Amino acid sequence: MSKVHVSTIINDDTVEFLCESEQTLLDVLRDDLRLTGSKEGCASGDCGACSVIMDGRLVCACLLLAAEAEGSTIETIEGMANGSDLHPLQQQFLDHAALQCGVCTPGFLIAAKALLDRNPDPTETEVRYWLAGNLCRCTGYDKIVRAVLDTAAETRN
Amino acid sequence: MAIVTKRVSDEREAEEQNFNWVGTRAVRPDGVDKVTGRAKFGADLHLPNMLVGKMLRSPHAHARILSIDISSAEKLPGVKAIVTREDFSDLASEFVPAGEMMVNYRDITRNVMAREKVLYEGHALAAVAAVNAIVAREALALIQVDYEVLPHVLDVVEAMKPEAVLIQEDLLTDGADPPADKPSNIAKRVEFGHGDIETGFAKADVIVEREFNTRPVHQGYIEPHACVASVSEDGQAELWCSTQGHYVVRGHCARILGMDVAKLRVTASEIGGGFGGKTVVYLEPVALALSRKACQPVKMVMTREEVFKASGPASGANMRVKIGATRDGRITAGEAILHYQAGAFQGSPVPPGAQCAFAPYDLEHVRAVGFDVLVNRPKVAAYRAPGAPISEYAVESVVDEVAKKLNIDPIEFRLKNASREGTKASHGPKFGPIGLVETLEAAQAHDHYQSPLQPGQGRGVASGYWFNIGGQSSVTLNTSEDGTVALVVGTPDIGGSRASLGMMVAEELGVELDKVRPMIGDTSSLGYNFLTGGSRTTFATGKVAVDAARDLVSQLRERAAKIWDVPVGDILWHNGEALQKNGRGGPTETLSFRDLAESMGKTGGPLVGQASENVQGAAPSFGTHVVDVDVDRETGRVEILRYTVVQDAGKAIHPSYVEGQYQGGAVQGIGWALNEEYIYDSEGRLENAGFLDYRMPVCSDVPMIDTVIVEVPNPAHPYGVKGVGETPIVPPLAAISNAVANALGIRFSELPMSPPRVLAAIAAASSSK
Amino acid sequence: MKPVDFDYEQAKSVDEAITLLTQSADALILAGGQTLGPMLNLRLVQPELLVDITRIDELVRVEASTTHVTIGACVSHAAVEDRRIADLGHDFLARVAGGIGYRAVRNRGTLGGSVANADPAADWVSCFAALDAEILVSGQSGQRIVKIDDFLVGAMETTIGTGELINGIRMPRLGASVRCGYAKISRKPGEFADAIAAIVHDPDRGCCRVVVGATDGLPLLLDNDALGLGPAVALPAVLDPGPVRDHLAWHMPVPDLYRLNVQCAVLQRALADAHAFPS
Repeated sequence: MSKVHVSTIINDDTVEFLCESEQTLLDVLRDDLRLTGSKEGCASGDCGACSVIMDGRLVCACLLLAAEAEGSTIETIEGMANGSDLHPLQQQFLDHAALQCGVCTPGFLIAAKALLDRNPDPTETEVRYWLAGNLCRCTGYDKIVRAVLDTAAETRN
Repeated sequence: MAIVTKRVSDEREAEEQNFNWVGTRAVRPDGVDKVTGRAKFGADLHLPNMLVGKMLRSPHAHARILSIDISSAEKLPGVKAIVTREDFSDLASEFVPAGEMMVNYRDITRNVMAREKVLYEGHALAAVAAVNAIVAREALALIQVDYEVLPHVLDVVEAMKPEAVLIQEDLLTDGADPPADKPSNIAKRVEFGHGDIETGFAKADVIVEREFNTRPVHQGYIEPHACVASVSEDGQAELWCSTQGHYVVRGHCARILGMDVAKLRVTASEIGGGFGGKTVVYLEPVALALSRKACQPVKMVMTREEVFKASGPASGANMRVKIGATRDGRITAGEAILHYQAGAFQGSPVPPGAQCAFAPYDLEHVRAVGFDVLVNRPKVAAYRAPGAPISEYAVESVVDEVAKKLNIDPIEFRLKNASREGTKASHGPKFGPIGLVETLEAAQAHDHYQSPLQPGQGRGVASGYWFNIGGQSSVTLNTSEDGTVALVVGTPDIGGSRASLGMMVAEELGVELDKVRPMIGDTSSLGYNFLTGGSRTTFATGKVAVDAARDLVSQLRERAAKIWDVPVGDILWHNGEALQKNGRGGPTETLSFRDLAESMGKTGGPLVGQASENVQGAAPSFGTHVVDVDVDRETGRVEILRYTVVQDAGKAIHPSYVEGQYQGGAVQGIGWALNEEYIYDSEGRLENAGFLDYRMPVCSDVPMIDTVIVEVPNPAHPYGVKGVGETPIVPPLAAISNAVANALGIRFSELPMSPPRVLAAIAAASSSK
Repeated sequence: MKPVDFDYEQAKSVDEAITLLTQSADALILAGGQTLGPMLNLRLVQPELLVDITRIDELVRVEASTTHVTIGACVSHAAVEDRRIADLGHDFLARVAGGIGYRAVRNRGTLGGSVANADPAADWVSCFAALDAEILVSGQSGQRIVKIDDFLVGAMETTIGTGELINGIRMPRLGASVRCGYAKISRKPGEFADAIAAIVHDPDRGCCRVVVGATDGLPLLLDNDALGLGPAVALPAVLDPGPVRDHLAWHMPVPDLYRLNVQCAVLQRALADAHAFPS
């Protein structure tokens, strides 16, 4: 079986790669492109640690074949900061201590960005339901939710 | 959100301390890497020429391994190495610490790679290293194993029966009274206590006795176990792994592989959660063995399914607790009989479970007996205060019931019986300065406890305790030529400890926080460091880091004395500078850390602060939790409306990370109490080996978790630190159970209180009316 | 890399998809990948060929007439949730879509994929049953239209044949005085439901369908007569619990107290939902 040729834009860079049909987008990001910021927690779409934004939409990279990304634009955690300027969400997470071990953090940041891009003024309940697809075992979610709400408030001002 | 209260004893200074860093909420030094995806976790390392390793695991819960034939697998192109029990020596029985539990080398080697039998579904019995995962998986499918399937036992009560199938066929109960004369699945019996409980019960006006059953739960770390091993042709080896203790991993791997310890250098990756579950080895010795055979690096990463099937859960248990009290609310006696599941090999945390059960109470007559029982499930590993959450759940539930029978407020009842400084704990020692009473009083005074409930809602309270440990730590402070410092420690950072350690050192040195760069050194960089666990890092590594900083300061003073040609006794160190006490050479003359660093070559050589110690004096942390619940009577779903954690931290070096421990532990406890359990089929195979059906709390399941940090300083630490990481998971189980009891008028003695169980209890209660 | 060795083809038309499906011995359709993805990763299926149908324009069409709306099989749950497709009435479909899984799942998962999988706990299965929807199936011999009750034959079982794929789902536009309600009970938000109820009470079209879903088998179309329901009768705010319980228990060969309870509860909640949206 021959490899599949895929052209994408990842974090504003044109990226072309060859992959096996059965490689997931997460596999290619991590193993071939060495973008290890997206994590594998479960391979079944239940933990959100592999969250990326594809064509403007939040998706689980573990449930996408790399071949399906042909022609798409992908944003990963590695592209969230703007040079040395952290995205407001990244800064708020640091200020709020909204991370402990940090392995779920890339997924939460991507998911939260997708939320605020769509709804700049979410309620606490809306934040909690949007982020229900991301598992965290360290923080109990409190500081994560506060960081997202404060980012929304800060951005509105 | 954190209200910090202080209590200072008469012997200590009462003056308010103004710290530059300690007690503030600085951004953690490793934070940017974590929010940008740069931080490297166990599976994030790629080495040139790296192979993929995969494990063959037993499909049976209990079976004898008659033969393993790897000949077809070996011939598959792309396969570079295969290992089985033939590649590992049998190790003699020897107990060594793994975190706060003990493990036995004879058992570890068998858990890492099965020898005579497979003892649980998922038990590893062979492994392959190949050029990629597809070939590795194909090779696994070509390995022929001949099993003799045996009956299995999953339940702790069933496993203790005389007719139960034997898991370790020659196991005699250690500590049995009278001594055991025939093998059983009961590995050990322990007993703690003092006084005479019959005398105590005889004095009681009210006695409550209950039996409890809990299910195993998994630590649930989001990052699966992962490592990369690289062994050279001359036997020197490097290991990169996600672990709570790379020195412990080094020791276990060296022993299992029969190599000199110093030949193995282990680097701890960033770790995506451990909670005690990453204090032991699973993949690491196997990856090393494969790499040794292939002479290429080998990466092994567990799938989520493997994590559930083959890494340690916390014990489930069957327990009985009996408590008697007088009408005025004084407990006269307490007894707990605990039967804990150890999994396939001995070593459940029933000893600490028994020791902690009655810790919050000042008792004249108390007895806790524990049994360590084998079952055909994965070997248990530590999970945050191992053993204590369930034993204290049982006791705190019965305490609540006794208080209710006596019509005494649950916090008042606990205050009447609370352990204080000087109380003799049920496991023997007398408590030093503890903060239980302070947490009870703070909980009682809190707005949460004072606020009214709506009809149908219920409020529950429970206290909790964990010993915490000290242990060996070794720290080096390496001074750069410009006066900035590398703080090298040997305890992996599982929750933000680099921040607290850096802050304490910056405080001691009197420098800006960003001049201190904390990092975790590999096993060659420092003396021995026990693992991160037992809530010891901020306490023990912190104390040693402070000592290393003080060592560096004394060297800096000597250098200044040399430069100024004055006695070292004349030199003060203040705010990052050396000054002369008596103003000789001018009162404004100072030498900064930078000045002394620049000239260190001329004044005596490198400036390195060091300290190493087996730190004693760890102080326990007590907590009290308050929770309000509502129960949907139609679906059985318990909703957490409001949650408050009050806990003694001794001294919160970084309050945000102390709050984070309180909140994280509480939510793990919520999952344990309401939804998490293992579900097995009749063949002993796990049915819910994934996050879809193993239900951990998500964001929308919980409210904000309110926290109160109480500070009763620990005299054995320069800043008064008590470990805080483990206690938070102890009170939630009973606090929630007590809240549900108050909401429904129904006592639960089984965990988890999942919707079907709650609904069944509601139905049973209404049909019996 | 967890999945197994297979070929991958992106079909550009329905005909091409059908040709690919019939040419291979062991081909599976890839649409949103939210059900197939985990199965591939956990190696629960081992196809020879995956046919990706998400680039076929015909399958993401939405056609609206005065009487019906037809939604292409590859329209995502998120497209419905975001109201980017025509409304049947009362925002009904959008309300159902918003409760499916998590947002990341909804962004990729498709209506066609959900109904082809026919998991009893899937939201669309119960919803389409309540709507008396029709499934448009394309195959080698052209297109056929199958009523939902005939399309679903059991848990995870449909009448779709080899070399066939779902082209779209056709649903009636709801009448002016319709009341439609949807509710589900699950242990965790985003999880598969323990019980679902979907109600479409449409006097103008002379139909009343009350469906209880997330059973062990097919969605349960309740007997209107047994419960005093019908298109000519106003939809009650609350159903008498006794007859409801009896009716549901009768349909439960192996008694399950929890299941029965949550089915009764969810039905009342769907009724409340129906009344929350005025005509």
